[in-house]
Amino acid sequence: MIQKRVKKSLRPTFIRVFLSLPKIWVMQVFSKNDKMVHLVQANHNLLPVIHRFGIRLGFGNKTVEELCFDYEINSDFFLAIVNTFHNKNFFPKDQLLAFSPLLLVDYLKKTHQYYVDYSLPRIEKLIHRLLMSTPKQNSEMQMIEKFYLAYKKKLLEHFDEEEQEVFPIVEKLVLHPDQVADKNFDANFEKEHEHVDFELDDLKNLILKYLVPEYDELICNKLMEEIYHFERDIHDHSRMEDAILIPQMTQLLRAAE
Amino acid sequence: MAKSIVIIHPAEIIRKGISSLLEDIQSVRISCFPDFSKLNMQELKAAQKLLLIVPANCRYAQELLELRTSIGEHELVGVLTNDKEKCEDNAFDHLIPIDVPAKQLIQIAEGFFESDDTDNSGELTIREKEVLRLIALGNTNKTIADTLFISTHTVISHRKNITEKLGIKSIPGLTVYAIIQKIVGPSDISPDQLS
Ligand SMILES: [Fe+2]
Ligand SMILES: [Fe+2]
Repeated sequence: MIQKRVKKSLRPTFIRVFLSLPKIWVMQVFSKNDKMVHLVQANHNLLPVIHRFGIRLGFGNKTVEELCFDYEINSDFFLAIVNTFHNKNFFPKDQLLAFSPLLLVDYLKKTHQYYVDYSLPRIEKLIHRLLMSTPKQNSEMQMIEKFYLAYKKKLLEHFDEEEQEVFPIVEKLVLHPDQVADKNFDANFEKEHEHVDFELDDLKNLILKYLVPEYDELICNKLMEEIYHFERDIHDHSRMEDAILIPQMTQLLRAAE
Repeated sequence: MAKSIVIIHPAEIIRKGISSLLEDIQSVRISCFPDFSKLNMQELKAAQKLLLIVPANCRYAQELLELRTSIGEHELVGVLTNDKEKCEDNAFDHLIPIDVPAKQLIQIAEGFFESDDTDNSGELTIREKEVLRLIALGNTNKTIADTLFISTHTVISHRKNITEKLGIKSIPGLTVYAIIQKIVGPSDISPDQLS
């Protein structure tokens, strides 16, 4: 009897907690009046994103709006990028489509640069060091490094294709639409992006499931952290290309016809 | 019933003949039907593994398609009554002439029922390892099917199982796994197999 009563009296609280949890958890959408430092404190993965916009540390207590003003950045665009990066389920497609494609192209180029200059070489170095820490006689493990190098080569070719073919066309379509000769240009990278996802996932599984037990754990921790960070970043990047840039380009091509 | 063999053939002599050849296979239930309309679908759906033996004849293509989409794990054996018979050979996992040696038919049936006994362990079966080896060597589904005398349909289903068990989706990833597990040697792989 007593047990029953206790349960009953607890129930409303449970329901309240349960109902309020998703709101706090799932969506944390930053706004112009948030302090920039607060963004990084909430999610340190945002720091590279902030850097891509050219914003440097030394935020002080300045808000997003104030810093964007100082650096001459479109604060709405900045927030849209930061918020989609921060929340998996936040993707204001219409709002993103409405920004100038030039803003997005610029951001995507800087993101490529970050991968090429930082993420990819760092993962490469850590894989190499990890495998050097495993017993030499297990030469099969070296295949993981070969796998990664082949993956990286394909990815760089993909970036190249986007930078040589897609980005310039988008820029031209905005700035000088009359100079675009080929108006039937057709680009779709969804398949390629899917492959990028798959192979990165395979890399993780090959290491997590099939690495020999003798290895340097500190290097391994760092490597996995780097791979997860990169995976998250490039996933967001590819989504911007598939869902925003390519539709914007198609739209511009149609308008230029 | 966990394992079933279903023989569908209009000729009683063929039904009975095949049935008596296969009756010694352990813990497998055999049932025979003269045509598709007499099938007990409840029973077929309840079977965990099903070996279907049917005439390799285009006349039944529609019935077969319907049947195959509504049952679980199965392989399809087509029986050719004469050389001139027209059939879609890609639709079958095995095609056997009516004068097939008894031993070969028994091998097909035993191979099928033995193959996936360790299914829940996440370990690859012998057949799956064989398919994986051929993938790592750079073969297409079609070549793998021809090499192992199975349909491309079955190759694809093996690939799906391999990927699910290993958590590895790409061909380069599967190739590296095959090398790590010593299913193939690093020197057997062509350099562009990873790209
Ligand atoms: Fe890109
Ligand atoms: Fe891309």
